[in-house]
Amino acid sequence: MSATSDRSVVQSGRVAFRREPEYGSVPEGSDAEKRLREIWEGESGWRGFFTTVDHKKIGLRYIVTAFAFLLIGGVEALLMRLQLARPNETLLSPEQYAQLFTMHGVTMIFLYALPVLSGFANFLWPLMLGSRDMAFPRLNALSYWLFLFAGLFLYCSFPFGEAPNAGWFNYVPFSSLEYNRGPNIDVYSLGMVLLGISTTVGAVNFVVTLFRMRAVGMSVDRLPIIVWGTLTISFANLFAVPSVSLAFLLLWMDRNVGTHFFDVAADGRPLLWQHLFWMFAHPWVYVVVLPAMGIVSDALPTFCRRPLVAYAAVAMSTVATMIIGFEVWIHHMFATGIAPLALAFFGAASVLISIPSAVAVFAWIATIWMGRPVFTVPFLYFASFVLMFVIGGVSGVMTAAVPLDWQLNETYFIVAHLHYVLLGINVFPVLGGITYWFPKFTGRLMNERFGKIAFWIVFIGFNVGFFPMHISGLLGMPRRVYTYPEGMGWDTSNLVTTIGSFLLGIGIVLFAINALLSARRGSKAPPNPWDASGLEWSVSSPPPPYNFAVLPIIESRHPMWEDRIQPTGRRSHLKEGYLLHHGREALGVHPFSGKPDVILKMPDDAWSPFLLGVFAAFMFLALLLRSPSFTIISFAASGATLIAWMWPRRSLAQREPPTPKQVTAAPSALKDDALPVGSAGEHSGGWWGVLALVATEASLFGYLLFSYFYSQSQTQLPWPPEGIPKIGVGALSTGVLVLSSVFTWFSERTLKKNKRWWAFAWLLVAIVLGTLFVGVQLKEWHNHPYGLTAHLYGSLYFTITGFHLAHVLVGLVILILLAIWIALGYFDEARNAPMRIGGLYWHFVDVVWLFIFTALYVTPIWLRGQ
Amino acid sequence: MHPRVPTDEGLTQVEKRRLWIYAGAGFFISPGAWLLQVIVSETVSAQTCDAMTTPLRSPGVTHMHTWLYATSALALAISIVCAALSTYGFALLHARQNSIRAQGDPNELKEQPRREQEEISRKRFIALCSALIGCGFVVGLVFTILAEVFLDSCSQWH
Repeated sequence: MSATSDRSVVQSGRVAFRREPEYGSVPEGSDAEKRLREIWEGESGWRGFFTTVDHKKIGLRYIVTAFAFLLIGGVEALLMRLQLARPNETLLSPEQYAQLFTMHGVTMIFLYALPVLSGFANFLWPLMLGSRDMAFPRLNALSYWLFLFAGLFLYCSFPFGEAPNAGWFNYVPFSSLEYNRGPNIDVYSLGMVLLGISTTVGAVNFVVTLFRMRAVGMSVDRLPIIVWGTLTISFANLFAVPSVSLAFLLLWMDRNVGTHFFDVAADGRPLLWQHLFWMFAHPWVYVVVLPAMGIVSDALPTFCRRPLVAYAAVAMSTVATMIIGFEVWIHHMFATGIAPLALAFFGAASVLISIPSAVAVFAWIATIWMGRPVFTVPFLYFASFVLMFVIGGVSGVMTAAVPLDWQLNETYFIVAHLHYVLLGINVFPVLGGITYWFPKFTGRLMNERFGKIAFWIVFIGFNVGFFPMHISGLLGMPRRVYTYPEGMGWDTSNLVTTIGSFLLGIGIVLFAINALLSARRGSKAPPNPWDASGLEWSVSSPPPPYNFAVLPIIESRHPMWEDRIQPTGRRSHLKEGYLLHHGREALGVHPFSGKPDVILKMPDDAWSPFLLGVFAAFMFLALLLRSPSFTIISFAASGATLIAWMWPRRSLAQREPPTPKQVTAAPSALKDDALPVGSAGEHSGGWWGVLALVATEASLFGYLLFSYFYSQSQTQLPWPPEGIPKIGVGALSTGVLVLSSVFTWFSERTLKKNKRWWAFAWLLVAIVLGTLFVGVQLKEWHNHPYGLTAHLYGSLYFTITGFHLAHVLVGLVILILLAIWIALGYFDEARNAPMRIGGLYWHFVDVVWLFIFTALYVTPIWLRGQ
Repeated sequence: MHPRVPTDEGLTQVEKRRLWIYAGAGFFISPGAWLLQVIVSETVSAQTCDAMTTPLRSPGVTHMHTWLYATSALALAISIVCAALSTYGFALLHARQNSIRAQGDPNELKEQPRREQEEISRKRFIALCSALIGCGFVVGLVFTILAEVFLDSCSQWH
């Protein structure tokens, strides 16, 4: 299927944006290989540091930064353990302890656990999938910069003794302004929203990368399990992160604007916070473990000298765990007074999760049992991970039983459980994974002897540190206490825990020292030092900037073990394949069939991700400092950077007319094997990216409407307080907006028929109608007798419609840009991907309004009738 | 294209479409039924059984157990149908794979299957995954339905 149709046949018998990809080989050291290296090698020096879009560099930065946060979080934990080593200790004040345990949780869960896995995925995905880069390299860089700035932001108040102090769960009312008047909670709230943007754009990138950036033959039954894991959690992030971003935004508004979402005095509900937080945070538990389980599933077989047992079952256990993970959030709220029958459903669902988990555990055990294990350092980490997983999993099933949870809730038993789960299932695979893929990261092997010493110290320290916490909990020790009196029977278990924690800390430091020393002086690694089966081991250690000199064609799940698994079977083509060497090019495949679909032009290094990250961080800083002018300037700078980023580029084959290099002879371009070049129609990765963005935005509005209906169901006040809303005005707005969507669609259709000025005209009508909607909405706001801060309903009404209005304004900016680009002649009937992308967004904004209209205008009438 | 024209895997367009529907039923509708059952049951019971905690002005839902059992029965029926469809899709492709294998040259190398066989094998993998998920969530529904079977009152544990 071709997006660049026959229209492109120009009179001279040449065709634009379409060519047959060359097939061949590129021997190492050849001129072609040197040329590829020049094309893909980023700029060196400080400029290259800020502008790189290389997925390998970004992946490594993620890992190093996350590891640095792990060390910081670890130091915080050790300080807390010193405080708790003995009863009545006075090393830390209660406030210092509160800040330390909050920042410890925030750091480990948000700044270490997922980012480190994102690092692995960023580095490894293209190498495992047989691609030259991620789908959106610049978005990838933006994701990292936002993560870094969000981490710095969250720590910015720490040196002043004003760090977040209400626990990582940040429950209201303690985190509300009445009880927490410093900037502590505002830092946390804004930092989490900023971090949420980073996580979301990263998730969009992973989803589109899997759909579009695979080698030919890399079908769904050949994907590494880490890819299954990261893909699953990326989908989960798209649907879960909006919940916590919204929760923190609403809290920030309660604290800074005077809204009443969680304000008990105005009939707001603290439990709404818990719902929104745990709707995100329980899926997040699986988000931070499933890719780590993927690391084990992919790397453990290397050291067992056999493929993973029950590949399909393990892949599906990953998916099933994540699906179930979305409906167990209330098991964090068993003690909140929800009715027992309602709790029972979530107790049952929580027990259910043990089934897919057990499937994976048995698969790993069977792999070890049926293989010939080689006891190297990575194997030790992976095998011990299975043990930790079982211990943490079993204590999880125990707390899924509601009556037992009521006994154990808020005790150290829960602390022990969550550390076995989060550290055992995340840190052990990560340490094993770093050791395993170290040759790819650095070109060298980690020291095995030093590594084994570090492993045993980590393993012993971990268990000595965390197992006694079960006992402290069973003896009744509550969590989150900064000290405890003598004679409670908790002294010994706490002292042992502290000793274990320090042992664990020493082990982690030894691991880090080993990594640093080995990166400089370790023995040089060949391409496949472990004799592993994955595609990433087919390239040199470290991989060249272009990843694959030719794009491979895959014939099995284990390309590097084909000679022993299927001695007479087909062989993957690793030395011969598509060349794609006309600049930075990658192969885009059809999302479902996996067949070659498009030659993608990949962007060069760019300043825009870094600058957008900086301006976005400044905007959040300005909000923290309550400086409207600084906020507006930063917002404008972010918007300008985004527009510059999005502006269609001829070098990326995003706009007409083509350059002479983008035109090829007709006979070649019209062959069956010829592929379109660059962004066009359904071949545009951007369209898939915006589709993913629409999914996450839809969830955001879903959570907003959930907040509305939840508050309505709980309130004792009339709803809405000022009587039934004026449905006529709402219907008028709805009609205007739907009509604008229709005209946008007209514009898309006419552009496809190459009627540029008609397309321009219809788009102008759509813009006028969109602007009219804004006008009607503002007038309606003005006419209301109440405002945002009047009462709970006002807070919800103005926030929901305001959120939508913000989306309409963004949509209008997009439509105006599209109109300008159409007028400039950038698009025609084939090269119109931005129009399709902008249209998709605008239709989404309009559809969302239908739900809002139904919720805010129709349901009050219906419910009053009831 | 004529719907009966066989494709390169020997499947007609109609068969292909059906197989996609079977796979979709297992992958999406069966878990969807479970998700909805839990959400609806939770919402109904939380709204109706609040007398022990924070009394509402009026119960949110009358005939609570009827609602709960009706929801569960509906979800279970949907899930079982989806699981059956996805399993049928898998069985169909499994049989097709065996028949292609049987039709092939006996001297043909087992490790170098024909491309059509590979394509069927790929679809069989997807069908297997769909059947695993589809059937898995029938088990899931049994788990969550047991919650309302064992706990027949709003206010007490039995």
